[in-house]
Amino acid sequence: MTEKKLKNIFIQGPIASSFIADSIQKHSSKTDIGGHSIFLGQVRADIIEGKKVSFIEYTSYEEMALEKMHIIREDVFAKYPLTCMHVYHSLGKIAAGEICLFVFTSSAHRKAAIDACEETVERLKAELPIWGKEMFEDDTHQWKENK
Amino acid sequence: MQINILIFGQLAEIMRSREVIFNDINDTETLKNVLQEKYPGLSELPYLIAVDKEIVSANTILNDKSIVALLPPYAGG
Repeated sequence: MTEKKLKNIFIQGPIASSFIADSIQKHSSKTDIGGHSIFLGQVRADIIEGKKVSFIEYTSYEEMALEKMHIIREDVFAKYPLTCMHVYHSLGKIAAGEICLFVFTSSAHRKAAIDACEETVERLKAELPIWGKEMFEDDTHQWKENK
Repeated sequence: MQINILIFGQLAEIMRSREVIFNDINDTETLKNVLQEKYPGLSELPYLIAVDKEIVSANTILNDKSIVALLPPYAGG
């Protein structure tokens, strides 16, 4: 693959609500935008065989994930009239109730932002090499798998 | 020829390592067979092989600059 500047999407630890708020605020100067769509992924305290998930530890093959995300971004921009797109995914330990994924799309009209946001979320779940180890309260674990 | 293999997620747990080095592996089919022999536990888990950050399904020739990675099922988001 040719050399290009790949946008980093990874954040160590959970995505703070203040980070999300700041990201929204930054768009107030872009007055051609008429609609934003935001998806937030939150770690769920699943109960599996009587044991409760306390946090997920995320790891990734980062170099490959950033290349794949670049392709998804280009495809989605080619398909929808978007003004901008921001994607952030957590790495490391994320407790139940914390945010681990932030996808933010903006366009002149709502439909493109909503559809692009959904498509980006679906594709990144299927295509990015990211793994999650679900840690239970008793220190045992299992590996998460996207359905 | 030496091939470095990056290992991720549950595979790193099964293989007890994040990276292994194999000698005399010329293609991904041979790699799969060697892995199966050395790590019988792998038959429990479906995984993909990436060569230079692209997933390969057909047999792929490797060279000493190939970046090979073993990828268990994804769980992002």
